[in-house]
Amino acid sequence: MDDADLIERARGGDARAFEELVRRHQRPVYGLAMRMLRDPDDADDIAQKTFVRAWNHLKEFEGRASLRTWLFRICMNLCRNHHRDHRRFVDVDPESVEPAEEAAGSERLEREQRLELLREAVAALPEKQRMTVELRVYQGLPFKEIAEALSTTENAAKVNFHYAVKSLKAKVGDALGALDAARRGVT
Amino acid sequence: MSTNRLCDEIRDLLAEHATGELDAPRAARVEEHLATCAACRAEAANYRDVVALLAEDAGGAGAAGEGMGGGIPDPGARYWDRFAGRVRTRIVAEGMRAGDARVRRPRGLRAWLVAPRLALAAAVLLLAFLGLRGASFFGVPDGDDETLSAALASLDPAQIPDEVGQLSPDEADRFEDELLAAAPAAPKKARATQTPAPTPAPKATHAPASATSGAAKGAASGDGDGGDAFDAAAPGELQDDITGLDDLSPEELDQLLERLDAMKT
Repeated sequence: MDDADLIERARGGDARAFEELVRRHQRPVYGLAMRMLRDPDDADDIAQKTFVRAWNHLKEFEGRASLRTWLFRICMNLCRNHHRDHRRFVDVDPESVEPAEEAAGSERLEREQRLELLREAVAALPEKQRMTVELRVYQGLPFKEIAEALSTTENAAKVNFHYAVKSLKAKVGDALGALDAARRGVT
Repeated sequence: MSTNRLCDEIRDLLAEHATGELDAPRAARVEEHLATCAACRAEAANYRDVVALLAEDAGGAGAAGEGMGGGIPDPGARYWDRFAGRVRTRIVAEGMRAGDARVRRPRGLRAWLVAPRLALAAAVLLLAFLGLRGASFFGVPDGDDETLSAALASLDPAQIPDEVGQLSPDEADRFEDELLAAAPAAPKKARATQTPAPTPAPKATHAPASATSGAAKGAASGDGDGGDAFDAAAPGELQDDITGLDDLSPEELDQLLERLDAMKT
């Protein structure tokens, strides 16, 4: 049974249909909340609230975008509100993203260093750019769906993504180069 | 167009080029320029590295995938198995609070888990029950109101969860298991007062657990009307197989909730 059928049933009060929808989308919703808030308890709370909100507003879901996109939109709004109320967004000082200067001892360590640099840089992006990267890269949404989720246009979503990648390149590109140089210096 | 202006124009396209977003004509233009410009080639390589790293991070969760990459620790199979149930609990609790007609009264002992103030009432009542040798919330004889109020006032409301949705899956399971052990099928009778055997009141460090262990002791004692602490503490007409506070009529429930609200202020 696809999402559309389950949504119809859930609208009619079928709790099992709604639970199946929850099971299908719980991981990406939790993953999104976790990356936005970087706290498992907060992410759990926001993820639950996302589905509660979805249940309460199911009749308003028009199906213009996919259910998942709609859930992401609810989730991001809740994260934004949570950030505003609790200041729990991981705010990373953009100046704090520094290249690792010492040589990586092992391939795995080097990989982790690179990924950590990247994650810090993503967390330091302006909110709309960060959300665009999140939805495009980590959730695999097309720009049309990203536009729905962020209440913007497809072109604006592409522009946001463009500037996000440019910004990440500026912050991380040089740091990755330094890592490479350090590694070459050791070997 | 000067080389610098051309390079600027091409570099503005490198992000999309790296992610494969460019349409064919513009992609061809970029590649034509990169073939002749070392500086832009180096920039393009940087963009490709970043995009590749993003893709690597996103795919980090492997088969678990589905938006769980990026270094997010997976909370585990048990969490996922129980998540939908916890959402359901929260929906029912909020629905009951709002008087949502779509939300049916939950059945069975899970009723305790879906009404946060009912869970609070259970905790408070059972502690009072044990401390005061079974004076029921509703059936307190004249003259005992002060004693009951004093005992209830000594509880720290801050230690009692406001929302049952805050119970972790383990806590919710323990709560239900203890309730199952404590409250066998109750006789379908209305209120009755009783005096069970004296049992020291457990500390209200975490009310649901304390309440249920108290309930287990109360029920196991076999005193009074058969040891069913719930039925004595919160009598009402029974519907289906439900025992406990869910048996209350709407009027009795409102009364109970009003008393709880008064306690918390």
